[in-house]
Amino acid sequence: MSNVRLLSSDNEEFVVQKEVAERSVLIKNMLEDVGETDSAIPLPNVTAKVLKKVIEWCDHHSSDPVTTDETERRTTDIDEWDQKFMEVDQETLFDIILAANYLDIKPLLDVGCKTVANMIKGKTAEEIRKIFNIVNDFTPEEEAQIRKENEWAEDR
Amino acid sequence: MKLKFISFQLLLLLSLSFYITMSTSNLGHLPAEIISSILQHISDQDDLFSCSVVNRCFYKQTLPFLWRRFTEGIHFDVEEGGQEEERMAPQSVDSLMQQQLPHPMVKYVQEVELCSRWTETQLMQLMSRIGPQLEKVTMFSGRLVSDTCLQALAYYWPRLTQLELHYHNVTPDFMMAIAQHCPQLRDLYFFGCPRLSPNIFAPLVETGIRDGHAPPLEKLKIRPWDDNIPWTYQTVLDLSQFAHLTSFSINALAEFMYDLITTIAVMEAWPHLTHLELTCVNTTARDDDEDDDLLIPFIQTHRQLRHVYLQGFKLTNATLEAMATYLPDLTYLGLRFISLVTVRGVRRLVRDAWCLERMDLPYCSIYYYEFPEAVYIPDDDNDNENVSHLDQEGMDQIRRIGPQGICDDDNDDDDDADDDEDKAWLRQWQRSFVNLRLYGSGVA
Repeated sequence: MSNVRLLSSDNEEFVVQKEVAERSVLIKNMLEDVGETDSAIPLPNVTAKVLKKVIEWCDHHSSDPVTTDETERRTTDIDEWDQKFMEVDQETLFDIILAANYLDIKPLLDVGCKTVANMIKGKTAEEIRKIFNIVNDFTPEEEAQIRKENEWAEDR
Repeated sequence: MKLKFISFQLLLLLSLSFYITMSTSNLGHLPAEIISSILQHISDQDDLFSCSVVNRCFYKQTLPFLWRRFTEGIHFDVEEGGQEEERMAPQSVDSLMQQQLPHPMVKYVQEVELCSRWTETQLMQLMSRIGPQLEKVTMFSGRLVSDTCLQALAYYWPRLTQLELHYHNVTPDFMMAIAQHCPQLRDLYFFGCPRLSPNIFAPLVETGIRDGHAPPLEKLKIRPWDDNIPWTYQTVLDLSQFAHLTSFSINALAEFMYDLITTIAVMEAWPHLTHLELTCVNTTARDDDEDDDLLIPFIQTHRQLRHVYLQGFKLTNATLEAMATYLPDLTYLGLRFISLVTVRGVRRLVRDAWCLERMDLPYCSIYYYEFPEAVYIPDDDNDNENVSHLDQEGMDQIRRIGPQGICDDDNDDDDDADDDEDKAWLRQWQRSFVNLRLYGSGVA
């Protein structure tokens, strides 16, 4: 099994098995286009800290079958290993999600998004803002208007 | 090498364009498409509502999910002779209809489910509000809605793929509107609709012929208001034209059912059928032969069937044997009021049809004391001794026991279940079952 070299934004190099690196559709497509190469693939959007986590995930899931069924991917619960894997601080969690999005690793993006979704479930708007440190940019009038407009949907 | 270098440079440049969005990692700073991906995993309306008022970005991303389904009221299943929901649509419907436009429902509603009785005025308002993106409609109480009003539905919502109407005035005119304006309609369900007539499917067929293709319908389920609808042979011929049908379900008189089954089998129509539910409502009116000769050719010509439900037919073990032989993918079989099949036939089917996962057998004159592997649910008076169903566990038991079980597999010449070996086995099972029951009642 050949190896691939990946270069993080802070110039740290990682050597990973091709099979593991190809969990990323971005890297997979690139290797297909460029062919065998000795140069390290630069990933200027991903820091070494995050890339290490992403590689850890790809390594654990390297032999997973690729699920193309959107609904199946969306509805399956997070498995135990992934739950543990996602027990990180918020900043790292969002960095992993962004990296998964950039590297095009859909199953990892799903796990990340499901983790955040689980943090949101059962919370009020104010609680959500507080947990994620989000600024409310509505005027009180706008918020009242939105509540009125959507109250039907809320009651269902 | 030069090419590789350029490729990486290009990649680097492309990557830099993302970089700005990556710099601050906070939920509020995530790109909109990621917030949308997160919201995909939230289905509870209350949660979505909370998200919609977090901030502007959340509001924008939440609306398509918050308003994807427009539901009103709660539906109680009335299929088995229950009462129709009598409640009128609440006043909040009117205030919703009076809210200023543009309203999120205009753009985002893709499914509508109405459970209460809506007036024509309310329904027209709703139809004119929700945009043409709508795909699925379920309406449970249509007594106050004329077929003229119903026709408007086809004009307003041309992208309908699924339509389920209960107690609505479904007429050929309405069907004509549907045939002409909703070319993507795939699933059609009519429950208790009082004005169904024999030529109800003709518009779909004729429009198909005019446009040079078979009608695109894939799923059709009909529970008429009155079982005595005088369906004709033309109805059968119309139905046979639905070449894309994968699922078909109907309650009908025996005469129609026989015409239908025979014709579909002879014409080898519905080649993609996987799901079949037939309820014969007046079998007792006929005294003649068993229905095996009717059903077996159908089974032989529809080998992709996976889900079969038959009620009120006079079928015997011969039909079950045909299922085992010709339906390799059969996973579900429901039989109700089928009194000529026996435990032996059912066991043989279970052993031979490996994909079978569940069998319902209510009112099939198969009693718990002769079929211990099956699930028996005593009713309040304890006078129903029929087994209810066979689940995976029961099937596993039957399959484990294999050819040594209760059946004629001991290589003697007779063709019945009363082999000595089998009798001994049966007695053993009955004993363990009775013990279990006694123990159960002792605890109680």
